[in-house]
Amino acid sequence: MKTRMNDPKIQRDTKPNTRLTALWSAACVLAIGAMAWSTPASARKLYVISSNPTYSSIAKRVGGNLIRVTYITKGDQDPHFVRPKPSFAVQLSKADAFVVTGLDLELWAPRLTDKSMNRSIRQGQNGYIAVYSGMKLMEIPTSRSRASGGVHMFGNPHVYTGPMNAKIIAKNIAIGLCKVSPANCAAFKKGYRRFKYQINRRMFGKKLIKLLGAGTLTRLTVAGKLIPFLQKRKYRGKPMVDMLGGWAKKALPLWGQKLVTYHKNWIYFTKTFGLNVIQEVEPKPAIPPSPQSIRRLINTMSRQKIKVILAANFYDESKVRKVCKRVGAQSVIVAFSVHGKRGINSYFQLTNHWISNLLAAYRRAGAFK
Amino acid sequence: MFKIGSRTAVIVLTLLLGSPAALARRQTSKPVKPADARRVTPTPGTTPPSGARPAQAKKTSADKRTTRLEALIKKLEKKLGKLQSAHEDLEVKQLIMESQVESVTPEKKGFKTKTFLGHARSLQGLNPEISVTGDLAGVFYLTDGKEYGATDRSSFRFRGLGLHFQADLDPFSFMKAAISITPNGVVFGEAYAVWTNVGGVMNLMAGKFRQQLGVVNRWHKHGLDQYDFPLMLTEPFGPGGLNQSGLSFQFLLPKITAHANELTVQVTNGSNSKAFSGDTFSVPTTLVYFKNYWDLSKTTYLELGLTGIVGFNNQRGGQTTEDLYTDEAATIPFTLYTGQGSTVPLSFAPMGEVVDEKWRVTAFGGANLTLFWEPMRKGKYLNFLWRSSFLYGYKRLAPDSVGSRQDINWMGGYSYVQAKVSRTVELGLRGDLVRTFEVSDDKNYMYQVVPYLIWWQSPWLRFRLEYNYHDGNAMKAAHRAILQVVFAAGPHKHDRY
Repeated sequence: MKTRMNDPKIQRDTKPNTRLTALWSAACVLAIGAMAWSTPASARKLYVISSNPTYSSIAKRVGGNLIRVTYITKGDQDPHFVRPKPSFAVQLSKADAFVVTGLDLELWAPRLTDKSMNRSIRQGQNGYIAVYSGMKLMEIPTSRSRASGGVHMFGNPHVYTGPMNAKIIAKNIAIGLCKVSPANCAAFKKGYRRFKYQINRRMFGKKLIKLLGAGTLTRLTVAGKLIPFLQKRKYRGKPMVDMLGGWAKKALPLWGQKLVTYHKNWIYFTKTFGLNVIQEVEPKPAIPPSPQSIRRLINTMSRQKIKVILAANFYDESKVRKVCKRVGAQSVIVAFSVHGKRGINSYFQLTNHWISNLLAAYRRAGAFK
Repeated sequence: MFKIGSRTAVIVLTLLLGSPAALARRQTSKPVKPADARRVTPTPGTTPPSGARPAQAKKTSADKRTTRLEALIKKLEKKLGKLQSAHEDLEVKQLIMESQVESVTPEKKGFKTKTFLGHARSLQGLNPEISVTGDLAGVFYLTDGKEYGATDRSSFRFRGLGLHFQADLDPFSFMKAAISITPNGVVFGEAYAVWTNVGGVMNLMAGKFRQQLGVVNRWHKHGLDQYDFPLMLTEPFGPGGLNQSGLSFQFLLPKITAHANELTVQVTNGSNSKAFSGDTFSVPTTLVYFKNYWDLSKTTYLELGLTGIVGFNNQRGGQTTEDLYTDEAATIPFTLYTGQGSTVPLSFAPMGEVVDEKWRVTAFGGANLTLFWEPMRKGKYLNFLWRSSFLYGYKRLAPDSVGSRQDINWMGGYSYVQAKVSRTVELGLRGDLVRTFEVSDDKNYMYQVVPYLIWWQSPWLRFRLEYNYHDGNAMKAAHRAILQVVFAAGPHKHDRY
């Protein structure tokens, strides 16, 4: 039986069609390839690079599985001094978003951005996220002079040491990610709200949030008045301070304690938890301590009975321990950023790490008797 | 007011009816007594009950009253609950208001007159970022019997007051400029504009800039690790190294051979008078720099750079300026084409003559290697650097007076190590070895040994104590001790990696 397919005439006739099909298939493959090559931001994971691992940790909370994050400064590295290595420029050349403080902390960042040739992460562009925006900055110098050492012109840039600032960081990251990938904005907003809720709950506890609201508590904390406010007031006949939970409750014994820090990088933390910083080990920011300044520090600590020195682990531990030994104080050498020490993988763990170490030090120093 | 009112209402109700709970208890648990039942008035129009019937009627009436009372109690309890809830809400609201009052800085009261100032004539904020650097050194020759000349006298030298500017020009480009004011005049260091991400592939720089001949040639003198540039740069290009005007194209390549690859192509005037044509250049020089960068670990990196530069050193164009008769120009061995088939030495060239020499090539090629280690946590206190560089050069010269070909085949290199031993102290040692950049059958060479110590008073001021031993087979040994102070005022920063 002669079928239509077996008919050589028909087969001959179909040859051009086969060619067309092959061409069409190739075009489709090419088109699919091209589409895959130019996958829109909404359909793939966004590549987010931050200046330090703490911002990365917060960004991951906000972006979840929609983003892939990495960072430049390592957790145990001084964020002021980072060499803008070419390998960082290569990373940044592929980034969808670059998260930085946006103040004069990461002076190496513009150089890297220039080298990366990635225009979308330059300041003012969609992929540039400055986390300081919307924060109440502290220690803004009234006299801008190097006579005061390495002052930061726009205020203290070590913003993430304050848990209330962490919420603003998350919000700014969410806003930035929304600009880069509008299709996933709802998910970023959700991530931000979840992080904000977790910070609030871990900071104040559920009970107080239910009564006064997180906004009110945040305002009081930023003003440095949370504990005095709660101590003065009663609710249903009971002192309101008894309703505290979270870090605020845990760190309550630290309120009003005197402290020496190595560098002026703890101000947002100390204001949040009511620690009273009397002096720094550095005579001025960025000026290394001299024998004279160390002598003055020892005198001050002895006179004022200061029992604890707090320092990030990238500073000279031996100098801190030496001073502590001289005055019978306790040294608290801590990670300054997420991944600054083994086991510190999130912002919550980092804040816990700071509070727990300080509490232990004051306890050892007999400050809570 | 409402708070007092609600409390008062609760008190009044309690006085009238007793505690609602107690009242309810009383009403539900207390059985209706016969005496009470008797006191109940029969409903009009009904037959007085006989026997058990009147009692039943009385009971029904009492039940009704109880039900009524219970309903009333429930109503009152509900009202009381609402009042209590409102009271709590008020307490919380009051607390929130108090907290807001406490956390907000009070507004200034009063209505005082004031002077209004605008900012239209005070836009200093838009000025470029300006920094000032100072570079002063005391240079002391220690060689016995030194013949003191104009430049090698033991003296204090203010090498330069540097003015550095940088600013964004628009959303797409920025500029940098550096001028050095020296006791002898103003030196135009660099001035260039940079466009980032041109065509999505490169950075473009246009202007006058220090060229990417290895690593160190890019730096300004005050930012060097030692007092002066290595001989490898000063011998073929002069004391300032290679610094010419033109265009620079910088490409960040995909990873080809290393963790980062960069390609820089620079097309500039051949205006360096020692290696190229000086003021009478006519053909651009082209420099290519290929950088390979490896992160060996978190703390260590290795960089290998390969450089090549090609240009011409023949003279072309009109001799119209007196500059050509300067001492420097007179030492350059070139001749002048008279246009009538003969050449005459430059020093005899009449003004206004057109020079058109045959093309003579100059080419350099070399490599540089950097190894750097800096521990993450202790990076402020400890690091180690080893940097070495080698350069080979060829320069074809004009034929000598008897017409024989003259070439310079040159090579030179340096190597140095530097270690940071504390937050403020760095130690280093550099060794240089070069041939002299001249036509010589003797293969003259020079070398330097440069140990040094740097002390950073702060990140903005440093002192350097350096010893410089300079010797060679065609020179007298020179021993110098240098005490240098370098300062930077303003936001000036050096980008190193």
